[in-house]
Amino acid sequence: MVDQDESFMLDGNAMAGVLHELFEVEMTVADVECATCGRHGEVGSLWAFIETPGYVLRCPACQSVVLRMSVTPGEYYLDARGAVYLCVPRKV
Amino acid sequence: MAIELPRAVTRRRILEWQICTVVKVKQETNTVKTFTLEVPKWVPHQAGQHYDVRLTAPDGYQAQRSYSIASGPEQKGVIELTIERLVEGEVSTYLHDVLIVGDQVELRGPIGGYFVWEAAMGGPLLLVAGGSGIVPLMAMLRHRQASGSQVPARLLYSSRTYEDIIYRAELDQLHHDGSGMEVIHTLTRGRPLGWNSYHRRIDLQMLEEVIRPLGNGLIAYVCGPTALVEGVANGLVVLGIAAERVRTERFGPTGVT
Repeated sequence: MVDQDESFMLDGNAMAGVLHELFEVEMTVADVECATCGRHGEVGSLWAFIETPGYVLRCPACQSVVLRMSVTPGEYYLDARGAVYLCVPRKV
Repeated sequence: MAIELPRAVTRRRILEWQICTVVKVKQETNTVKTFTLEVPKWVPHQAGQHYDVRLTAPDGYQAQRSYSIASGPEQKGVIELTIERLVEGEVSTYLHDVLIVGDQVELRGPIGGYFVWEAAMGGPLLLVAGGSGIVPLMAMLRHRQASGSQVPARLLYSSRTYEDIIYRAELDQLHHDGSGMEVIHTLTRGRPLGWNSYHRRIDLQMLEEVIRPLGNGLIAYVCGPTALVEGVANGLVVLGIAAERVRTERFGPTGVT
């Protein structure tokens, strides 16, 4: 069971800017597979919770945390334990 | 079948903050304004993308929000951001109450590749908006018109009252331009005398009536408050639209800070 306030929920699109900073490509269309339930879909289709100290992306099918990210003045921390893979477009 | 996305989204691009100048401010409704901003390193966007806006206080404190682009990519050199004034919104209240023509703000963009539509992606197109969720959909409609697209399109637009309808005159004009685009309004809190369209929250029956002429092959873009987006997205799936053909953008209380 997950207890979360859905009024604070956005889509993965809301993290487009900060993900672009890290990967330098448009990441909302990057494919990601949920390690909990196996759903795959674009990062933009995940549920985003960004009113938190870090950013949390959850699977819309099983609500598990797929990606977590936090940004400090000097680094990006990306916790991708909830994903089987994250398919990042090659830079061309 | 999933929606085919344009390939341009994989192009490498460093997103730079740019100092942009306000060249026009238009009051759309009591709580909504459109800001036209001159972007020095303007690049064509895709309808549905957004820009991040960053404000910096004299003490260095920064606040950042994402706003959908209202203008189509055919309008070059500038972008329009249509922004609702949120009572508790630390960025939107500043933009509404302080920003005037000639002022400068920091922007970066365009960003986003998920909630986008280009004429080449085809249709039929179903757009569903709640309140200021109309903004990215308006960019799609403006792009559709400017590119001469004849893709059948229907917009279902839920507003509180008649006076809260954003872009009302332009939507009336698009509805009558003969290109196969229809606007269907619903009002949730009161209606003017003689109102002959829907006047309730969007429900399954309304959705079914609105999508019927488009058929099951439609592609849908839904933007608005979370409850509306959830209800519409689930309703479309119940009505037989494949989940991959329904794209959503929820409005939160704020954006990335």
